Amino acid sequence: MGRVKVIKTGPIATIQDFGRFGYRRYGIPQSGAMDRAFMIAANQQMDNPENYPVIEFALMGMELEAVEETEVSVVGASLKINGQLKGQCEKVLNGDKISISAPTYVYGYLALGGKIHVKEDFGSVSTYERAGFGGLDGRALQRGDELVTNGKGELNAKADVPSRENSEFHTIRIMKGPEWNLLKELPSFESFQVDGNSDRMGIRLTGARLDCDYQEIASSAVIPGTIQLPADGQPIILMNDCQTTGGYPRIGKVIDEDLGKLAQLKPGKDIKMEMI
Amino acid sequence: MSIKGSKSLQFNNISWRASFLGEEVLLLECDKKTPIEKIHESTHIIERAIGVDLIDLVPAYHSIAIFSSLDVDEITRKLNGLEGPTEHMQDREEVIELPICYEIGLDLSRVADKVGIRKDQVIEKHLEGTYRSLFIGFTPGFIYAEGLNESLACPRLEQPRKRISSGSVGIAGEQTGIYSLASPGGWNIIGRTPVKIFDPTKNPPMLIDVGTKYRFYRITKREFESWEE
Repeated sequence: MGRVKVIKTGPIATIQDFGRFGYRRYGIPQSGAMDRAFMIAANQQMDNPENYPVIEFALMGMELEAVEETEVSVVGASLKINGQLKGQCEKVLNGDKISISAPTYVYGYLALGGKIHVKEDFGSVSTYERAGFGGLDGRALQRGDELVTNGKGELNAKADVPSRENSEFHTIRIMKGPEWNLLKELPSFESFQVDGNSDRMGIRLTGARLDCDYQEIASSAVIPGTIQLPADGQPIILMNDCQTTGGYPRIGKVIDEDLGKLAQLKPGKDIKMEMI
Repeated sequence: MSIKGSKSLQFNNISWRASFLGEEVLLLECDKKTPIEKIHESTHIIERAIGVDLIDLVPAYHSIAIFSSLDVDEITRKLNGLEGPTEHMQDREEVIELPICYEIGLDLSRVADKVGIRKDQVIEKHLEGTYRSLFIGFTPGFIYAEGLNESLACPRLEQPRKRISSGSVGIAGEQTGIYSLASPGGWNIIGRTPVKIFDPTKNPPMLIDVGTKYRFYRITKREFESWEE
């Protein structure tokens, strides 16, 4: 059993797992880790099962203090214990100070040895703040919160951390969506930028405009990865916390495999979409 | 599964166009004139035909999204040619009675002004209606319903509100609905029910499921404030 206490955190550190499935018909979003491969790697480093709850932190780092012996594993940020830079996975003892840097990309992940004890709502512990589901009381982590685990982790187990190259140019693969045919001409998906106004609900793109025989469609299902095209021609790629139905044309969808990579692109990054 | 192109299939006497919403999500769309009851029947037929391989279903006005790891050909084979519903698949005929307090309807006066009648006439026409949940979406538990008296159709607010309380009953154009949880929103709020429409501790979490009819009866502000379930 492990126990750590939150000393300092940014505003968007939340507990996530793979997400909720089977409740979309009630309007309940999927949620879950924005970069699933990073989340899995954080658990693997600890020899936890892949879908154990993790802490997802965005933009800012975190500071924690060990209350009991615990193993910590970090992916997408660096780890210091009592001020000393360490590897990605360490054992901490009562009183040790754990400092996690701001994420290298957008989202970083912290796993603890064993399973973090939090309540499930609709089959998942993923935090969905808007409705107060999952996590600690359905909210983001705050200073003073304690996280308790049952069980222990195995340090430095083999993990598969995917590359999230931080170059200036990225290709995201897409497939056609139900309203693809509303596009006026075959678009060239060459030059978009990730907009700063992006979050767990959706990633807005600016730059190139897509021309479309615009019409609102009668509300119909949307999913993470759906590329919506509002009247202004600037696409929005829906992400994990997106609503279950929407009324904008769905011109395409980012393939599941590329969603984590997309989530990790900072505002201003150039992206290019490529049809599979 | 192959994720290109679209195909058509036929069941419950409806022609459906099937295309991909995602790698493992098939979107079935039908003619816009298809009555909503046929959509609801079709969701029951799909649930029964696909069984444990069905991960989720999202019915909407004239579409149904099917979440399943089965191959599209397999889904098509299971559904194609299935006949219309057995009795228990039809929408339930029971009507749920919901209390409503109009005194705390933020936009009651606005609606009265826009549609050109008095507030008490708005209330009267609203109480006369029987509504039916068409589908749930937008936010957890938000009910899109039919049954609004045409004369109460009123355009959305120009500026959406940042927070609308749970149980708020809204009008947007000819649509009506209930905000089951507090959320931002741009619908005209004409009243509020104290009843918990959406309860995450229950399964199913919805008091009013898709296809179910409901009616309102009026309560006072005092009754609203002291309401206990």
